Amino acid sequence: MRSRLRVGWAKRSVPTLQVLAAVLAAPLATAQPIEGKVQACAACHGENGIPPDKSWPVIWGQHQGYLYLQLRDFKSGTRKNDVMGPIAEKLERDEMLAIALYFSQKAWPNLRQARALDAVAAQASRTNASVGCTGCHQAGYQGEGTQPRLAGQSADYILKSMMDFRTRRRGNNPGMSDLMNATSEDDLKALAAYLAGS
Amino acid sequence: MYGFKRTAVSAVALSAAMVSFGGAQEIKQVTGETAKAVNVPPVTQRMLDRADRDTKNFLHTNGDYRQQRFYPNAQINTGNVKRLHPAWIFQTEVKESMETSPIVVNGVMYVTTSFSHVYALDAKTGAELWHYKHAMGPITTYCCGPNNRGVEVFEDKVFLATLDAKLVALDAKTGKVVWQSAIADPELGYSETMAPTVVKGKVLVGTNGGEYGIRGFVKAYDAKDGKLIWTFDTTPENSVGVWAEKDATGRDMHRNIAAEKEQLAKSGDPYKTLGGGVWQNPAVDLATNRIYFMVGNPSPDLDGALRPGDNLYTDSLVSVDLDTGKYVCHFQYIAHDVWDLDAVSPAVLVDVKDKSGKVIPGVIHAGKTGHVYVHDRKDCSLIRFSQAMVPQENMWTLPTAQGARMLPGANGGVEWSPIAVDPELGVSYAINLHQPMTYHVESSAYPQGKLWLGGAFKVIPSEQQSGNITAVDYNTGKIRWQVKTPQPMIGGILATAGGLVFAGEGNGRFRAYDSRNGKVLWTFNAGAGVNAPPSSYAVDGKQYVVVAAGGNVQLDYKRGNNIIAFTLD
Repeated sequence: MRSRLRVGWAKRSVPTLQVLAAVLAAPLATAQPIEGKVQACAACHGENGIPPDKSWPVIWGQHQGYLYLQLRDFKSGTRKNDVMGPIAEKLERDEMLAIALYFSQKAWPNLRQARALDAVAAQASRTNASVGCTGCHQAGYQGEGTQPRLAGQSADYILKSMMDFRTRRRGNNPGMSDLMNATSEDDLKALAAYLAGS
Repeated sequence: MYGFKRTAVSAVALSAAMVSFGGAQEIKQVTGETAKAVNVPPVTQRMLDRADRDTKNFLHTNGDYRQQRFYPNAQINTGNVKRLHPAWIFQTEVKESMETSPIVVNGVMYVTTSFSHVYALDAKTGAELWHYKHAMGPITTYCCGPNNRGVEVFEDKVFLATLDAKLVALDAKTGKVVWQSAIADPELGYSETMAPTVVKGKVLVGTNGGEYGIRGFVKAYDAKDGKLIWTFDTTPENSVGVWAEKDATGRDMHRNIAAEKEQLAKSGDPYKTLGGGVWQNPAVDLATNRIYFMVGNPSPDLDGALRPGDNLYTDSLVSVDLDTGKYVCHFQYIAHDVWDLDAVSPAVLVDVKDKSGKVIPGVIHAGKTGHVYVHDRKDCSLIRFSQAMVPQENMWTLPTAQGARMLPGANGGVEWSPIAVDPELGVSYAINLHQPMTYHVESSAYPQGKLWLGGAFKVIPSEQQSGNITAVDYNTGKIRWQVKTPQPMIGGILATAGGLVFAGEGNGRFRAYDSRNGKVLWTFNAGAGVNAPPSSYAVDGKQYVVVAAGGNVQLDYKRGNNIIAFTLD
């Protein structure tokens, strides 16, 4: 069900998203205080930091460096998204850094996701031992700088991201794609469940 | 001459006592109701030059300019080491991977933590004197944890290289920033985790980034003001080399030279994004005014298709002139490396026997391959290589899309961990990893400041991992003794004139071994991974051994935040 929702969202909703993107991009382009610029983000990323759609990422409390790099990559087109592309296209570097800083200073929301079962957590731990996720994402998967926090991120979004890296649909980090390709789908599902409940 | 004076005085008296005397400066510290004044005399070039004979201070990350990590104080020795016990434990604010080598100057200790913090501590009591918390920029790009391996002190400044690729000079008495220079742009994949080396007014620093498509370098800055003096690019504009088909030990590396030449004609020389990080400190030969350092892997690590040629000077020992940064000589261990089995552990200068048995100035390096390589310092040429310290299987099987098994795994052998030598015994001591891995290749264009491995290394979960400490006779290449450990080892080692070597493990054990035979003489459990190089020093005539216990990101060893100093009862 979750999987169908994710794929369906991407395939079916393009015209709607393009309209949404145009609407959201307009206020961001004009000179205004940061609060005005980020207002539009709430439509997808949540008024209170909890995205209304589980396949959209939490950005409240995410690290500034990571958020900046994603905006940069949406702008350059190395990360493709029908909503974010047009929004980022109009942003200058300083604006991206300011928006990224704004959200990084918000408190990470609690999505109230279930803690993974012991067997699933053990499988996630073995996966980490094999490909070394915490080498970049840090102890407790808290991330830092340009490495995103994964702990407590939406399960659907994490799994979608890992699978998108695997298929190279998400093309802005080939190193991640290589690591995800060296990992089985079953192990990735265990990781997503573990991370979401962390 | 630079005697350490620590005087307990009242807060009132202290406020009036903030003056310098005898060329020394004072540190002011107020902890609760007590106040202390600590003399910090400037570190002179003469002190740095003579660090190998200094039984009181620990002035260089690897002991002395030759990087022998042999501490000349014998007060703690094979006969009494069983009485070693903690003198104090200092807990830092940052509980994350620790790789710092404590530096000690006249009773003041300088240590660093992950995320580029620096602490000055009273080396006798562990009391905090000051704490520098680097204001990290938003962009940090690094591969193996937010580590920092320490500082160097020269004159009245403490030098630090930071995760966001800055070189910072701090006031040794207060921890305040004196100057700061941007070394490189972190958004392009540059970061710093090494301790700088300071010599003759120059601050030398390399760079991380071999996993990011950078162009590696060693840079020299003016210690007074942070101005750049010279840059040596580790990947020259002509990085093609001689199309070497065999590694330093004579084994075929299975290169497809014809395909590489075709690619070279199409894409040109890949030097601009060829990697070649310099992770560890250069050794300094004061007699010839040359420095010797190790250059790391080519980028991307596993995919050679995009980088035709030998990829000079990656995976190499390189020597340059200290004054100018001009090339002197190099020796490449693995041309066109596609396994990340590069050269990371710092170069060590020591007299060695050449092939005819004549004693000459040498330079040795312990590789990720598991060999100790012995070179002629004059021209970098290889004299011999040691027996392998770890299992080697299927070398050099090329990485595949599905993953090809080959040993050693990509972490080594010997990782960044500095080795130690006992020049009297003619022995080097190295800590090793044994991690069976598969090597996967997948080609992709450089993603602009993102991790660029060109595939993946994957630990084989069903296969047993282990570590070892290996003593190698560098004049014969034979292993003298080896002690196995239950986990792969990373962090470094210290040898002392007391006939001891000290090394830690990921499981929290910190041990002293008899340097002649590897017998375990003392064990302490630190409660977190001991994965940092130990140091030693003396205060008020009493010798100490100190080590950080903070675990390790790369091998996911239990994290901690402890600096632990030991002394005898």
